[in-house]
Amino acid sequence: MKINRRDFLKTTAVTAGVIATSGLTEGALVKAAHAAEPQTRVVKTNCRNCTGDCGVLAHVRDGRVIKLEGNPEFERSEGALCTKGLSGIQALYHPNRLKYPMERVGARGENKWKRISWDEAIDKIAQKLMEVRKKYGAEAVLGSTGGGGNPNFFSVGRFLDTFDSPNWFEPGAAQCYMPRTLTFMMMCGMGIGGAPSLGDSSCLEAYFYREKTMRCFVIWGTAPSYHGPSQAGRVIAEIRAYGAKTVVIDPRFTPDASKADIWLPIRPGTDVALQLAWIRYIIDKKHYDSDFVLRWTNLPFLVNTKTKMAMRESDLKSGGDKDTFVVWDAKTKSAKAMQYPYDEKLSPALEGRYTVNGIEYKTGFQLLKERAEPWTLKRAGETCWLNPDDIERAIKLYVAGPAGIGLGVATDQNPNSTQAAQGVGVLDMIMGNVEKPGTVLQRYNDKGLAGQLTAGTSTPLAHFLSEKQLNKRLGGIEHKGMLHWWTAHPSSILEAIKTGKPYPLKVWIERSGNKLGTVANTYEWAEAMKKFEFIVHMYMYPTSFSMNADILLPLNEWLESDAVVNSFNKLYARQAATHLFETVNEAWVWARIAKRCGELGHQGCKDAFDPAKTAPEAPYYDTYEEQLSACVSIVGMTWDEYKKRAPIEINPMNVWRTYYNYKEIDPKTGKPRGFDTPTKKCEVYLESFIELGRTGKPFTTYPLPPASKDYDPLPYFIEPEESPNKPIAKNFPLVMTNGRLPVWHHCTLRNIPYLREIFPVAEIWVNPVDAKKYGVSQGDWVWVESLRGKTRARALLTEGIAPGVVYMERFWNPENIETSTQGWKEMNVNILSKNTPPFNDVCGTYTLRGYQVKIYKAPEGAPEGVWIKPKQFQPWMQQPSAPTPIVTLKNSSGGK
Amino acid sequence: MPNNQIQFDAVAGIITRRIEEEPASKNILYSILKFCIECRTIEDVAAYFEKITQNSATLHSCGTYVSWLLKLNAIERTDSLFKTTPEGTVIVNELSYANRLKALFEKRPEFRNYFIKILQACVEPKSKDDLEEMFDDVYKATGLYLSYFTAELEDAGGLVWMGKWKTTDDGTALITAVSPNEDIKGEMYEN
Repeated sequence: MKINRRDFLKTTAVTAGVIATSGLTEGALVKAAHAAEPQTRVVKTNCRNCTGDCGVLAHVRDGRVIKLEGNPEFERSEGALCTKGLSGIQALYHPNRLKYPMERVGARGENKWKRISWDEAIDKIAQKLMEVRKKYGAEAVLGSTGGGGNPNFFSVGRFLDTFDSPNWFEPGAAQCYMPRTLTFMMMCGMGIGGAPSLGDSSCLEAYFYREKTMRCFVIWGTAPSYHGPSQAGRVIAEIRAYGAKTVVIDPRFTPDASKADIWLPIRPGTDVALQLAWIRYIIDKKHYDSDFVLRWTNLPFLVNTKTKMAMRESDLKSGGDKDTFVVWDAKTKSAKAMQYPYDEKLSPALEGRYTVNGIEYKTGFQLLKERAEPWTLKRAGETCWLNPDDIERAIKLYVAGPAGIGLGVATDQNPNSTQAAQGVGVLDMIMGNVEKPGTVLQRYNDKGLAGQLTAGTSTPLAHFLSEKQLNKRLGGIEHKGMLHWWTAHPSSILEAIKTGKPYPLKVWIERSGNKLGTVANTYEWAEAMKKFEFIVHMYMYPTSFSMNADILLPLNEWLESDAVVNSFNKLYARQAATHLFETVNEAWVWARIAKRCGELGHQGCKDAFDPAKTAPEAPYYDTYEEQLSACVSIVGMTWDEYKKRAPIEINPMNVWRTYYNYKEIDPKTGKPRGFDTPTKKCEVYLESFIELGRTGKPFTTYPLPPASKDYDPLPYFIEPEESPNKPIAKNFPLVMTNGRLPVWHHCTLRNIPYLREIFPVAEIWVNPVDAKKYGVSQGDWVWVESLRGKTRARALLTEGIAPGVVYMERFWNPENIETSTQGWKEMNVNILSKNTPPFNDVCGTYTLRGYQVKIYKAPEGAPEGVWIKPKQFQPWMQQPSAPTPIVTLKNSSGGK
Repeated sequence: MPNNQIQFDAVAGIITRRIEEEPASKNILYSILKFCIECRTIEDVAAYFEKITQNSATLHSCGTYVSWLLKLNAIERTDSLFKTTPEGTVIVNELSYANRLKALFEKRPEFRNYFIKILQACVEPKSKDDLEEMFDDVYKATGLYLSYFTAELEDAGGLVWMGKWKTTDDGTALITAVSPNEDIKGEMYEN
């Protein structure tokens, strides 16, 4: 691969990443600061500038945080802290932070506000919500979250459920992580932490690199060196150092790709095609683990080819058990019910088509084989723009094992999202890469505590949402996969905002950064949101979205907030190092709004404070500290006690981490525990998807109306709607993709001066061949245009992206929020992305990556007003002042 | 076109856009403009504002709304009296409830019967729940919920929220003047 090393370093910002690694935190590059003096106290806390939660030591003097460094005690990061974490001080003391609740007094967009009290703000919000509920119904209230991994993720949904509105969303969710968590939960019963996501701190087996068990890691559509330099990125470097092979499947030549044994620069949006080719090869060459497949997957089960449902004993004979499945016994050449877990007397056929009682059946394995059959290496090479020999070399590395596949957000961001997760699940499961040393799919014995405690103050209270209202969830009936996270469908929401159909949305309460940087087809959203009667924005600093709001509420930065954090078998405490102004934790805000709505007559909101009504979840409390104490009462402590004792070991490491849990004997049944699926096996043939689409099972206790068609139990490839193989390519010849950079987390942190100094503007990676074709030179400003609109970026010519493909990350310009662009039009790739059908059938995913664009030189140059030179970011630097006492508010105004 | 006409139209256009940008306050701003066609003291305006918003979760104070209208040159202040400007008066006519209701019926002729029946029902104030019970077939017939219709009628000035939905004078005038077509229960419409 021809690539200039200087370009590589510039492209990948390895320099910035290197500063973050653990070996360089000894002060070698910076002078000793006041932090070392005895009056300084050190607070053990955790970052939350991404979902990594790296351990941090915050040095505090005179009430001011003056230094941050990684905490070596926190296992996952081992003392490392990346630039995102290190920017915590600049975020905390940013001069533009939201300080107090504010009410709009000018027109929307004029940025004219008056300060109001928390009581006034909460009352105004509650009064409006109650009015809207009486006039139009609770469903007219919309909520949203995001901000790249909100630690109080379900707090919005919790409130909306309490209020009896079914409508909340995250621009991630179906476009970020949910396709994987849903699919892996249904295929093998893995909890949310079990879906293979390096960025979300799973794939934990890789962190035990010193054991040298993992011999190959396939990094599929994820760039750990970018999204997690302190954790996953560092760990990948370590497993390579300990001799593991890596395969990187990514359109970009990332640092991970540069070190990989094989890099497959895949055409964006074609991952499932490649997965099917891998599956075909593995089946054809019989590389799969036949023992695991026969005993621990549902692939031997007979499937009715007409109904697509697996045959039960009750189908075979009258009075038969409906939870016992049927195989074709090669010995007796007949269909036989096979008792769980496995009947040694039988010889189940793995392949074949059979007729039983006049009905045609095929084994699940046969159906999988037929599905993969067309996908030869040659065909995958043509479709995915890859060399078939490279594909084969990659598969050979993977099958040599033990191996695992780590996924990222890339495959979640086009309509083939759940199918891509299925494809990876199929691969690891037919290879038997499940719960054995060196594989990614693992369960850990944390007594269920980690998930409970980290969700803690914001569990969804889903049972508060009535059946009548759930049936009204926008897009909810068609895309039932969203029941997993209990969210509504963004494009269906947008349609309701625009047209008032099937019912109008009147209020939007939003908790995150900049929706106008993250939703697809931004112009449509920006126009549609003008129809809201009332918009509330709660965040740490104003964004483009804030300019359209009516009330702004100031939230804590992570350095001001307590929370439970988990790493491996231990529980940690994020602890506030200081507190500024009247900022609060958002969990408190939702509780206050619920309280006021209860006072105004909302019975559900009153009940949400009653532990008997909310059980088994915790109720709302008046203060955030009480909420935290309720959360950790599971481990028998108050929050104060917990903070003093953390870290707390849930189980010893050798109990927390065990293999082959599925073989462990359940004392209640005397049989192996198996997997948490209906068959207790890995459901490679995902019949549960069919039931999900038809009824909503397992997420509802009552059936919902069916989706318009059944969800497919096996992965299948969808050629992108906008594709280089279709007529659109004539005018829009390039395939667009996105991906992380080491200094950002999704759309956050664009207001941090040191981080903007490193990456001041959005870059578009263009292959030199394409650059020449379109008259673009290195560093030129270009227009990037799609069917939805156009925006600008600065061209980076590099062979780190294939001809025919371009890459551009999300961006917005806080320096311009007071202008007519509100900072979201200048270089925003989501102006271009696609929010229209087709959607992923299961989750409703739209198209953030894998659509067509064109580029051409922008004679205007850079957009007006954007900051590029370091000195321009000076206004965002904190200024020194006299020593600041720590501010503690009374509970009624925000608590701690 | 003479320059002062161009300027006049420009100001009127700005006023219209600004009012449309305030979905929650649109009818309040319109009502103040209409009220001030005759000269009013600030006390008159405040009392009128209090009357029309007594059942509403108003977002802004009377003073804020008046300041917006002054800034737009939609009303003007002379000594202690407030009066709608000529540009503001044009907007009062253009955005009249009668005009808006007419436009709604022209835009959505397929829902005419539902609009009329809801306006008829709300001559005596009705809650959302009352209306949902009366029109329990609307979702099955149209694929739309009742709130779609009430929201459209409210925006057009046919309904006003007074703790319950009530038909306005313009809404009453409309239903007096027209009669519904054949009963359309059970028909499905393309949305």
